[in-house]
Amino acid sequence: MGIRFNCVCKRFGPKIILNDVSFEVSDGEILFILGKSGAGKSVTLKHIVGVLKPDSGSVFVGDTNVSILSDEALTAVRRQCGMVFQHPALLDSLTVYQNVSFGLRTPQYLASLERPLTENEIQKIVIEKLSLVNLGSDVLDKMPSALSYGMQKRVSLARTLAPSPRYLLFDEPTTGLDPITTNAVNDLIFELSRKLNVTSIVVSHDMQCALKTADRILVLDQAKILTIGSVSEIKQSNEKLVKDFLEETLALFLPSSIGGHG
Amino acid sequence: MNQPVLAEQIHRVASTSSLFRKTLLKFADSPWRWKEIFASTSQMGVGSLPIITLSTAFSGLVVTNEIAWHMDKVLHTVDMMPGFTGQFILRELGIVIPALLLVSKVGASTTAEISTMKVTEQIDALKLLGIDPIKYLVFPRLIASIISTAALTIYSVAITLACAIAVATFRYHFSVAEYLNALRHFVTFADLFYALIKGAVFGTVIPIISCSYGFECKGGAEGVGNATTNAVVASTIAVIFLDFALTLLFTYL
Repeated sequence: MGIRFNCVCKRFGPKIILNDVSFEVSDGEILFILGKSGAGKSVTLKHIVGVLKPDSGSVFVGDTNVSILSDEALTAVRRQCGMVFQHPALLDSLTVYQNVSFGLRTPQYLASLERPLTENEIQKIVIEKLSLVNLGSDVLDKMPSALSYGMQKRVSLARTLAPSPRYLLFDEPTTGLDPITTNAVNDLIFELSRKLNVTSIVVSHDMQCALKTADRILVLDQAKILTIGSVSEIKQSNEKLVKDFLEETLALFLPSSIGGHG
Repeated sequence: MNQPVLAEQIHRVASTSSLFRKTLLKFADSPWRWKEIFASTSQMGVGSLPIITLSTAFSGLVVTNEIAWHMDKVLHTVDMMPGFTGQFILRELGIVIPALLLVSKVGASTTAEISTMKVTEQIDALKLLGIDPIKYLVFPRLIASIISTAALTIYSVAITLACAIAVATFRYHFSVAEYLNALRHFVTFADLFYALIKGAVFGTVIPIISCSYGFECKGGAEGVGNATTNAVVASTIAVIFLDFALTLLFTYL
């Protein structure tokens, strides 16, 4: 079970994005994927939900090889996956309530229930998921364009959580968020994993979040896996890129940095 | 045309044809999103009425004056003006002008909207929520475009003819009855039917090409701009080419 990459290669035109990438994520595990911009982190996530297909190799979600499935056949897999995109990706023409409840009204979700949800039940779920990301019911009737970028990202996260996915894929979930909400999102990822056994893969630049939340960390560099290991293993890594990431994180907490203004 | 450009054009034609085929399959996929179809029809049809009215009215005035002026100069009579203008309006002017206006108004906005959804990952989000973007975004626009373009074609023919009659009446002293009587010798109900067919065909290609370019959009704001420009160019060429092909077909029917 879990998610498995087997020797995945992907190129866009002449540019190699993923080169022989293999790794496995167990059920309930939190894996952070770190790397510089353009290292192929987002592309890796999109392979899991079949938005992108590998040129060679295979990607398994549970027992299903998603790399060979058609769009129609992928629906069942996608029903189990929730993805938080780099952009909020909210549907502009729908209100916050309609956006968050969108996934609760799809035929695939309804098919997984014994009976359809009533409007009251849908509203309850929507408010509950919004409260998880520090948003109140006052935003329900607002259009996405009336919200700040950070609020849109939080609504997007609530929409992803609404249908209770088994696998959560986060593409830089905390970019553009304030530190309090960033902490809340990281705590949420941790809680979902520990309480509901949700498997999470988080693409991020934020080593601090990774060290705090991840079970394991994978570092991508130049289309390949540079290193993968537990938090303590990553802290002891001799790879220059990993050290650079760690030093950047530590620099934030050095007294000279803190006292820089005085 | 160099090889990469040619390859890109072939890819464009192939992806647009593929989108057309996939959208046609959605006819059998119920339920239809009637609410969105009505909203799009209203937006495309009713929303385009002012510009179509203005443009076709003026084109009717100009063309009737031009034809009459040339007939008078060459043949020294304007007796055949109603027939010629009526036929030209019903077979070409009243059909192509609204189609080209819809390309720039409806087609451009469709591509811009779909492109923006693509680059902001809204299309990917739809897929992940288990929603087929073709059924959700393309199919309602296709139905709405066919209905509104066919209806606007008949409307613009009527407006253009009314303006032609106005010129014939006030400037060249025909009565309305004389104009319509002369018109009957040149045009038949088949012409009106062909106008409807042309309108429906243009109404089909405009949203398909516009959506196809939107789905293929890459990059940010620049990508949206390029996709919109390219979609308008491609749709314009498609309308002109299909007009030529259908005119040939109807001439020999």
